[in-house]
Amino acid sequence: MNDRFDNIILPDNTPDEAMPPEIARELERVSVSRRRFMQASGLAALGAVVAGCTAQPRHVVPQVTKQADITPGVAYWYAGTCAACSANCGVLHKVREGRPIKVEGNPQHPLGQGGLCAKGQAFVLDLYDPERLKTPLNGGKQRNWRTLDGEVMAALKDAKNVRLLSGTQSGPTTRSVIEEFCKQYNARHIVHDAISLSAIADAHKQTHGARAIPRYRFDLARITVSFGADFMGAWLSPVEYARQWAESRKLDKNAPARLVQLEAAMTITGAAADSRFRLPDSERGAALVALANAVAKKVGKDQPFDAAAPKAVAAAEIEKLAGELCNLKNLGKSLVIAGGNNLAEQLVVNQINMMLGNYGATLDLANASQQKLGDAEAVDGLLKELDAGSVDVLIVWGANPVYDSARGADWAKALPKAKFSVAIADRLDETASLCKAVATDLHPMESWRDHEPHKGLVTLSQPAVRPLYGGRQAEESLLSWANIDKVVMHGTEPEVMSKASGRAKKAYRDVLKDFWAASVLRAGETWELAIQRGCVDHRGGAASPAGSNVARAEGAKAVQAAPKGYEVVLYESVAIGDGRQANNAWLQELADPLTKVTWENYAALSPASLAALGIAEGDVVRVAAKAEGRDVTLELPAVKQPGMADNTVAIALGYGRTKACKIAQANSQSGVIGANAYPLLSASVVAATITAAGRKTVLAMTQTHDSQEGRPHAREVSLAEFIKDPKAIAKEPVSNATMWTGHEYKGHRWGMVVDLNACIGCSGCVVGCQAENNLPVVGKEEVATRREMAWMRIDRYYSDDKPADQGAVEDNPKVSFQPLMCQHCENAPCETVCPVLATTHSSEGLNQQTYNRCVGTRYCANNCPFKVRRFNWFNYSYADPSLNLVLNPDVTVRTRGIMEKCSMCVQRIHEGKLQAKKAGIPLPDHAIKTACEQSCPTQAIVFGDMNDKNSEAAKLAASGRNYVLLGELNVKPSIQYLAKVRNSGEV
Amino acid sequence: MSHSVESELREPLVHGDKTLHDITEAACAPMERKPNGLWWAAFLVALTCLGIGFVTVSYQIATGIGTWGLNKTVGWAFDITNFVFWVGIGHAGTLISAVLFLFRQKWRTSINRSAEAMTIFAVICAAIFPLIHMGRPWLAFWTAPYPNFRGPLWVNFRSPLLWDVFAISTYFTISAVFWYIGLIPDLASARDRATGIRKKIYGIMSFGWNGSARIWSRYETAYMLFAGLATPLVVSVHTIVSMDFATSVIPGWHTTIFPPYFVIGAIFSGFAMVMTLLIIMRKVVNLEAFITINHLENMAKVILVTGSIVGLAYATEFFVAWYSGSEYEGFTFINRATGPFAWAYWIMVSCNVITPQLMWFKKLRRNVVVLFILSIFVNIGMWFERFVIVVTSLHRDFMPSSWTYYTPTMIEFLTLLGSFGLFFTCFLLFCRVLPMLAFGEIKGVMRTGKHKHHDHKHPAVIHKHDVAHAKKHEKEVAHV
Repeated sequence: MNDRFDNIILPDNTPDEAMPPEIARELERVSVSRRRFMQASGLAALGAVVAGCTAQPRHVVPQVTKQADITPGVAYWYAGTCAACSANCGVLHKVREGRPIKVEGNPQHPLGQGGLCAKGQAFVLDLYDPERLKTPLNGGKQRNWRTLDGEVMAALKDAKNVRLLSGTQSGPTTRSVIEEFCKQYNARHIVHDAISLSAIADAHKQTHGARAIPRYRFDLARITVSFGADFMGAWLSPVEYARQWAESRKLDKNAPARLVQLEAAMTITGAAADSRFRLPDSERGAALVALANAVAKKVGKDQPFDAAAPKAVAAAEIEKLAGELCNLKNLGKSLVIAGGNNLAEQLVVNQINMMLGNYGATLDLANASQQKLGDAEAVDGLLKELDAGSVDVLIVWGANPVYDSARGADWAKALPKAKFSVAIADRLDETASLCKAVATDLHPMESWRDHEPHKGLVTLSQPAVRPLYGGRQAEESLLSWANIDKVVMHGTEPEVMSKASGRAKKAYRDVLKDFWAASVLRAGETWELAIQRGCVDHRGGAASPAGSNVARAEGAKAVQAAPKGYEVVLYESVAIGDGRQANNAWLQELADPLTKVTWENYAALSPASLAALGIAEGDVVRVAAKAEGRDVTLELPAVKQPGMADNTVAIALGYGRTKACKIAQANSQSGVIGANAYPLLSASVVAATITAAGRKTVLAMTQTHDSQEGRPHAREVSLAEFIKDPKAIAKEPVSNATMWTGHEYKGHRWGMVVDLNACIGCSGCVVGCQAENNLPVVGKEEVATRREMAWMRIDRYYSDDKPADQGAVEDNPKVSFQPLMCQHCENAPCETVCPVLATTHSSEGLNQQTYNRCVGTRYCANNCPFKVRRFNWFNYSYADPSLNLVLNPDVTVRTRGIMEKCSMCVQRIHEGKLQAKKAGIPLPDHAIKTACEQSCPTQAIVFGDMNDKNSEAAKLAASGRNYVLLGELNVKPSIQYLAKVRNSGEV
Repeated sequence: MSHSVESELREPLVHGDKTLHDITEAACAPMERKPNGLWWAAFLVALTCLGIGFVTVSYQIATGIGTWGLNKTVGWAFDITNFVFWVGIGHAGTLISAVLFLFRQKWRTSINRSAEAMTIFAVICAAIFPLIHMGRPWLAFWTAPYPNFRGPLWVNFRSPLLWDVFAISTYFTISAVFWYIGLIPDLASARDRATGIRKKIYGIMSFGWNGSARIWSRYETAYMLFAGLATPLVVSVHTIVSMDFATSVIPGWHTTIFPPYFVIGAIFSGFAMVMTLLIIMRKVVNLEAFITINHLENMAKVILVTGSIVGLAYATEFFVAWYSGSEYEGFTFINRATGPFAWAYWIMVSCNVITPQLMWFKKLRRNVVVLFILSIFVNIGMWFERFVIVVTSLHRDFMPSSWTYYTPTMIEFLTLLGSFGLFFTCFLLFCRVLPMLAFGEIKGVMRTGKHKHHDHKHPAVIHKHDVAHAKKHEKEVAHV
């Protein structure tokens, strides 16, 4: 019935800035109305895209007359919304010859403002995942849509108890569809978040009367105190927050903001923090209560809670923190947040923020976040209903509770008890495989959809490609099922008759458009503009209702007893997140920013804990725990994580997928990568016993040495030092005596500046580079042999100097991140040694690698002081040819036996130069952005023309905070680094 | 030959009252009789190793360099270690034949032929490694500056690898020609003794040598010239090989001491390999009378001297690393001696510096068993020297983030084994088909130490096969 998707592709053109200038000029000349133009171009785009996606045409027919606005070789950009997590960052999909090949942050979108995380960058690979279902299923048998609809309808017809379980769906249109469906069948909609933050919403219901998660404003906070919330790595909306944090730390401001992190595990937020304390999760409540009391004292209020004293953080430190928070210049401009999902703790957090006057300033409830709408209690209620067998029809959409909930095993038992169950899923995952029927969903990049990450900020998704495998968008399925009139049986084959009218008859694009016209768009806004920009922003100023004080008893509830054994900390890793993208090879091979481990999760333990257990890194340990009555045992390799709290074990969620994840099941022995830690998930602290399993594994790590050995690679100064002499770094003498005249750069001279003060190690750039430059995936064994192919890596060093708490050096080290790509040296050591001139210097300062000429002596890589060159040890190719569709046609795919390395995105440089030439203008600064620069949420990387003294890169390179790596070698890198400035609060 | 006065006290260079005919017989016998069981056994082992090497290298070329244990940080290991090792081995031959010739070291005549043959085969073994270490060896011809249709695309004359190409090929060519020229009179003798197809082949190979005085005169001029040409190459080849490392920026490689250090190391290792081979050969083919304990002792002295210089070079490297004040340089050497590859470093030091010091004792110097064990130790030590230089410098250089360890794969071991297979296959074949002793030259030095007893005897026993040489000898006697 709805196999036709001809109505899906109507790309309403790109945002203005991406519009080729010749089209813009032509547009002005013929003065076609915008609408008319949109229609025409959309139609043309449709034609080209449809033609490009037809499977294996028998005859290739040359295009006699070129279509007006489709040029092979020219990329089209479609605004959309990222669905890699629930943060809903705005993205642009780059489409070449009908194939989406790259996802980039949308600079016009208010959340990420162009930045994107690793998961978002890798999202495009999921689109081509060969394990997506091709047809709907029922009872394991293939169905066509007509039959499936009939079968679902037959089940729904007499159903009394219909339940719809979905992930967070914030879009107003989507919610209207859900409402329509629920109304029709008197169904209940339950929202499940794999990693729930429902305690924050519940706490606000108690204190502010509205169940909502506030919109956090890290950019306005002069000091942020985070109790274990990894808000730049995984918590709620990391890209948005990382961007805000970077904004608040700009050194040109009077004083950069300060970040204090108190955490049990080591996170990238903790690594970026100016001050970091080790705080076991079991003491978080006590620390919060102590801080609340200390703040109350400072602001002259009664102590809100009974006194509590955490052991891990000295009372004086808490006092000092309270002092900083209550400092006049910070009052009302600070932010206290806490990770975990414990209601009492969140109530204490609210109390602290209320006392500090942060509501209405850095905490905005008027434009509350809707990025996690899950209600853990309701999900548990549904499980009970299912277990009792009282659910007639269960529809699961975009949720996988069998895998990603603490009670997955119970779900697996209860789910088949539903009389009829249908999963709207794109693969037979752990949950879908237990449902009776599967209505194949589309990938979000093939779908029309809206989202509302903040109340008032409504963002759009539009398809970037015609559906690759005959699926049907979830909303269309729901609408169809809500509007089916009757079922006619043809023998055993049911046929459905829809109502003549209603939204089900319409393509979902029209449903969305009509709903927007009626309910979303305001005067002066048009659908076309919205879809070009990707969103409409109706958010008002920050506001908050007055809060009511938290009951004194909550403080006592928040204080937990220290458990016996090892405390379990579960976290979302930067790469795999909650596990929905576990089948993504780019993400599996992305090194964890801190441990540098790829391809599995592990039990991270502090050095002292490892010593106490008498085990070494790589030894397999058995983590046995009782979590809310469930006995859970996981076997994981131990990994040493300096900076972790002792007697704590940190385990990443998202691993241990067992269904429909070929990549995540790539381990030949166990058939699964890593172990599933969801069963350990709990609102309270779980204690575990750890024993050695007597086995060893080889960890695939991209970096194994933690110390800089006192070498000045990733440099850092304190804020006090920086204020004393902001140009001290650049004053260090660098010998550049030479007998030769250097290269002459008459036109451009490309260079890059990397700000270590902004880099948080999030690795979005690493995956961005991978997508842009067709970097191969090499697999766990090859990574273990240290042959990963990343053109840019992020070096992570732990400091050698004594930490503040005077423990052992590795107990709480400072962390330095250093993105490292080809330094494009002026006197490049690689260039002189190549016998066949395969690597040469360009007239614009690039160090070029000519793949065709390379014979593969590897001499260049040996002689590279930065070790950024990568060799093709084998022919690396995707196991499934459908993944080749993701390759960037502008970048050569390399064969085995040759060297490759960062090209500074030379294809982008050429494109930018060409555009400027065609427009007849000098190349504007920032017209060219390398893939890493484009992706960076904190804008730590700036590319530019060093010959143009007004370019931002040239200015930064003369800022005085700049230095080059290994200056004494006189290789003259084109990449400048800006030293990190740590604001440890002394200024 | 030049006029020379020799002490009456000098020991004879050839032992056991040999006549000129005895020498010819002894030198030609291995070519003329059927090989014995020992030869067959050795040949089969060598051929098997060569076969294994061939299969291994074919597999590696078909699959990729990834079959080796290299990684993003260590881009060279066994390949270049083997290359430098074999080039080093190849040094002794030319040194013995050319340099010792120019210095009139007559004792060289018994060993120079096999030493030169060893040179040729070692250089062949060495040349394989730069070839197969390429990611795309089928494009190896791009390293040659030949006219092409790729516009101005040419080779990179700044690259030491390219210098290697020239240095090795020049060295190989000169060594081979020099060797062959030396072979001609002996091949003629072999021709004169042979019949049938062998006579034809030796006839072609000896270029119609007739043993006339004019031919002898030209031969000796040519030999002298080539000796002069080859001598600088002894220095240049390993100097240039060392520049692969010395011109780089990597601490542990970037060292001005490398050229002399490498040349001395090459002589050291070359003499050790010659000693290994000759000790086996003189036993197996009964050449004790020609390759005397005096020869071995002389070589042991060279090993002692060069081994000590090598030890001095090691110490100098450490001194300079400390004296330079460069933290990277300093670290590299501390890492060598104490880091993860310290085991390799200490194998190197014990084999190359400590064991040769035993050669201060005459008793040990003249003990064949001790010398054999010593030569094996030096061979091992010098292989590890190259391994230490290549791998320990790379595995921990400037960026600690990229520090790695390196573990070789079976493929690399088998490739090394294959290179030994190739070397010994060639050498064993050489023993069968070409004169192992430069008997034309040996005859010229027979008088040494024999003045008193044989001065007037030996011209009288000229055999018909020795006509060619007799003429030469007469000329010499006339000089005296």
